[in-house]
Amino acid sequence: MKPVPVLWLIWPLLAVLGLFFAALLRFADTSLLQQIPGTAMFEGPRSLGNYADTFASPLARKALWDTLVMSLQITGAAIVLGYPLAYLMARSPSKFLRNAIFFVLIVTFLSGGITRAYAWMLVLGNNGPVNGLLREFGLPTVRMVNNRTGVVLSIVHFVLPFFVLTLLGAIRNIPASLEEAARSHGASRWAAFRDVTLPLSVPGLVSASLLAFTLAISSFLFPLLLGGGRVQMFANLIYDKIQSSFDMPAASAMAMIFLVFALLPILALNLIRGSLSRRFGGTRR
Amino acid sequence: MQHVPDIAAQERATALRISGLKKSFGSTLAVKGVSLDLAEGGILALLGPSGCGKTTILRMIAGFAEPDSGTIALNGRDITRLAPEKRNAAMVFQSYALFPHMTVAENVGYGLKIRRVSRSERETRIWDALKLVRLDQFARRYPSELSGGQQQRTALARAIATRPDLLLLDEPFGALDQNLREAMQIELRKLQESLGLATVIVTHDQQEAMILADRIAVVNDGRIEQLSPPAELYDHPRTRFVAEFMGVENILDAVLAPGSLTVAGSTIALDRPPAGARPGRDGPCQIALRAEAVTLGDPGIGGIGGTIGYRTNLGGRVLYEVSLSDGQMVKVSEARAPDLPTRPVGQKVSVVPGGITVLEPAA
Ligand SMILES: Nc1ncnc2c1ncn2[C@@H]1O[C@H](COP(=O)(O)OP(=O)(O)OP(=O)(O)O)[C@@H](O)[C@H]1O
Ligand SMILES: [Mg+2]
Repeated sequence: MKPVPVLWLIWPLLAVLGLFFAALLRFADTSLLQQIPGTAMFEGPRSLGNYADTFASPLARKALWDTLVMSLQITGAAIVLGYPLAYLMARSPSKFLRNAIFFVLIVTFLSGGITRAYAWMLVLGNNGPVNGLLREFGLPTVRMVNNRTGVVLSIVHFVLPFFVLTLLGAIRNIPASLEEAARSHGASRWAAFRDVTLPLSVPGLVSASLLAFTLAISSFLFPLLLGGGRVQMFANLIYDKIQSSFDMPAASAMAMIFLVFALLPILALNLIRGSLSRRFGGTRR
Repeated sequence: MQHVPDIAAQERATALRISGLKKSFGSTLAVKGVSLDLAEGGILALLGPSGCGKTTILRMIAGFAEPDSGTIALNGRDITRLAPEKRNAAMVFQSYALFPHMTVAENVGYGLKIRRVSRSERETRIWDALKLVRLDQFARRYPSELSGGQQQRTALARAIATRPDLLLLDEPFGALDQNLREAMQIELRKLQESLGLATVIVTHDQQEAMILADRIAVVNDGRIEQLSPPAELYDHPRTRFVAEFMGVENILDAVLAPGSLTVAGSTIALDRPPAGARPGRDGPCQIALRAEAVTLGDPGIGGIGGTIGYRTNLGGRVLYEVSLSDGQMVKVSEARAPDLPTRPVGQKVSVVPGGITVLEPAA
């Protein structure tokens, strides 16, 4: 059998990419137009007015800032919770423990977003088990729904499987014999982890964190359901713009701004990832 | 030949003492009761086929696997349940397990840094260790920038830099090509001798074990089948398994009687009992014969009668396959030179065995 020339495979790929890119371009173009007042239609001339309006709006500025802060918090929580889980899954001698973690993560992974959002509303609600327990001990109850706490918690839950499974692959790729070598040369379990596995897992940690950040920043469903209208992340603001005032050009402009803000940390981390893997991958060219 | 006791070894104190070591993984019994001693400065090889339990024994000594029962003592201290880092036993892994994010010097200095050795002292000792393995030119390189042999030497330098009580090596030369492997074996042996470092090396290569070790433990299916100095193991394997593993060409059915041995109907007089013979254990047995210890003569000189069935020229030697009257076959290897006649196929000959070793009956 003759091998298919690899170059032929580029055409379907280009077609798909082209389609996506065309959609994005059309979107960018729309962001320069103006709504015809009272309709869902829009017309020229092209200007940057929608961008200026967005940056002038305190609501939009607050949503953008809140979204960035919450996404960073969520990423931080994913690192704190997810690293130990990924490490245990990669290295625990107990098969039961490894399977248990995997099972819980996969169940999270597979249950739909709406299901999980309502589950969180029940768990965190004023009459839910968490507050029930606090009341039991005579402690003041905490409001965790219809505010940022609930939104952040549910999004952490959502991004955790992605984070852990990405990092797991990276830790698994570090031979366990490296830690054993460290220990046989006098390092305690902790020192071996600190000196060997942790630095070698940094590139994987960066990838997993980027993924968590990207997923967090584009959250829509969880702020909508658990924010009770009080928490507006940027995606929700864009949605409102379309739903309540049919202002497609303004929504497009906000989406373009959002895209840039979402891409900035990714680009920045990608830049230092090069030097990280040079430092931690052991090759210096 | 009688076993000459190694007097020097007896005078030296025991570094490592293992007794009754057992380990199972689920329902697999990997190690079934292993006991051995290693003298200070001695080097012992664990030799055996794949899956016989060598690595498991070594990992229990290093502290990476916990024995089900038995004890391990190092320099008189019981280390059976001690954490690996508290044993002062440095291990060299088959994959070398060099830290890829550290330079050669950082790798070698790792154990010293962990022990909080001062920077200046550390530098000196890193330098010394690197000089010993002739890697001082490569101190600032990363492991990925080294050849296989250089990586191997880095791993060795890292292990000796801490001056451990025990050096453990698991198939350390497995990934090297043949020439480099032989050079490294000799280098390791010299290094080990000059440092007087008690060493256990795991290998499945009998030649490697012969070159490196002053005592070899042949491991079969989780048990030590024979523990002897290399020459004795080579000349006088105790069991059929050891004989075959050590590459003995001929294992023959024979009948032993006081003062004589009968093979294929021919009886040979023996002036003293052969190696491995036990008083009162006469009768049918198996004997091991090395092809190079057997000579061929003309019929009637008093050996085992046979006919040359096949002849292979190996350059400096000729290998004959001699068929005996009862269908057994003996391989004989003789020196060949231009002026020495070789024997043609079909010639009737007499096989004169040397270095006869009586094997223990299979358990
Ligand atoms: N972690 C483990 N879990 C289950 N079984 C194991 C484990 N380690 C070893 N074994 C089993 O124990 C037996 C001995 O293994 P070991 O690795 O000690 O053999 P080995 O002599 O080093 O072999 P090789 O020459 O192939 O390295 C094998 O049957 C192996 O399958
Ligand atoms: Mg092994």
